[in-house]
Amino acid sequence: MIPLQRWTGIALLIYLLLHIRTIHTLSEGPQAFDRALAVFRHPLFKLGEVALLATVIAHAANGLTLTLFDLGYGHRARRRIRMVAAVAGGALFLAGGVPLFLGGVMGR
Amino acid sequence: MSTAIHWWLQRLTGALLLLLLAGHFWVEHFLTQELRRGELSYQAIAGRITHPAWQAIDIAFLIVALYHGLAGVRNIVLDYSRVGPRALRLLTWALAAVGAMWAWWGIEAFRGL
Amino acid sequence: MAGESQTYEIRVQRGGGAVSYSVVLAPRMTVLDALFIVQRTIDSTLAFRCACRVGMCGTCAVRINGRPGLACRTRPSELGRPAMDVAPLAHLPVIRDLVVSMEPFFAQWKRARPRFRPKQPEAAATAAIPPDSEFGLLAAGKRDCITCGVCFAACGVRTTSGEYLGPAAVNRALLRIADPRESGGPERLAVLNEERGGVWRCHTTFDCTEMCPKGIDLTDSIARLKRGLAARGRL
Repeated sequence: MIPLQRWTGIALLIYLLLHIRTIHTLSEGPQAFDRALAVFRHPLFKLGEVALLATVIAHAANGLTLTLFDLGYGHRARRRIRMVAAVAGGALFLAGGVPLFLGGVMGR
Repeated sequence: MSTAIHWWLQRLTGALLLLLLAGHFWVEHFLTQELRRGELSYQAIAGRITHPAWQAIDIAFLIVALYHGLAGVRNIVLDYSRVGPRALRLLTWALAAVGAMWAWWGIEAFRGL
Repeated sequence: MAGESQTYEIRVQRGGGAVSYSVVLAPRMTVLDALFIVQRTIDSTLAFRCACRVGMCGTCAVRINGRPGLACRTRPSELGRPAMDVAPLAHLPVIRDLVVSMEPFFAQWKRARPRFRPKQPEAAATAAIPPDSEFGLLAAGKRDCITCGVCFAACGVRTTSGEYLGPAAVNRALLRIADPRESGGPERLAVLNEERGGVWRCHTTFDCTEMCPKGIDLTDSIARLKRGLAARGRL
């Protein structure tokens, strides 16, 4: 549990720092921005977006359940709560990831 | 700063990020047909990002995310007692510097739009 | 439960590697029984600790199939496999075979000021706590700690932090702090509030609660203190 939050957190931070640098190109004008974005049209990056979504959902779902427990709720029902969080997270991932995958990687 | 506030802020920013991220994801990938096809470009987002209200949300998002991520790294280091108190203090300042630098780059993106 | 004895392979972590022993156990026998059989009939050099044999003293805590628990309260017949791995408790220095030093555990235990400090030391009468009072109800679930070290060994934070108090120490601190007859709150709270070793290191994974042989909700104790510290204007 601890390594999950740790590794997804680090991955997301690295992504965030790179992402902000990319967005920063806006200050250099529309052409600079579009040039930066062109790099990310590659299907590999689009797949990366799907991986990013999975990482965010894993980190958020876990973080939410931990916060719930810290507030004192659901200690006895913790297995059920973790299961619900996993299922909800999985569903959200499919809801967002499938269109991302189809639109971005498959180009549909 | 008291230790309890770090705990509070990490959870508070986490909850905020949930909303901000969900919104961000929606806006960047599903708002228009263009975006649904993954055709992100300056032109696709120009209408939105020149609007001061959207800029404010984005900047708030930026700061909240940077805080949560960098504070998280600090938390990870705290879990490793092999890192001494002096090294930890140094690291905290380094993280704050990274945060300030990246926040600046993020805010600067909107300049001149 | 079937009355038939069965043969089990017990792999004990000794020194650098695992040594396998074959023992025949009746269904109600425990891991501790198995260790005694090994020591008495196969290898007298096997070192392990025990005292009460009935789950009251906490001395025989070991790692069974990777999970910390009391040897005297674990039945191989209920583990579901004909082989089991027994190793010394994690996060504690090994003295020999299954015997560990409890020094780090008790060093943290003492840091939490576990001794009862009465508000009125000169009082002649005993202050009784009604079982259905607020503290009475809380204490019922928190006081059974036998300092076995299982929670300490189970804790994921203790894997990397030599400073974290650990669930047992925090739980005992809560028991004292919540006691209306007790003084000594502020010093304990200061220790609990430490960034590097206090309650804030807990990541709410429930490993301690899962393994506690006394069924104490240790995560609850720690979370209560997190909330208490956060709410006392120490923001």
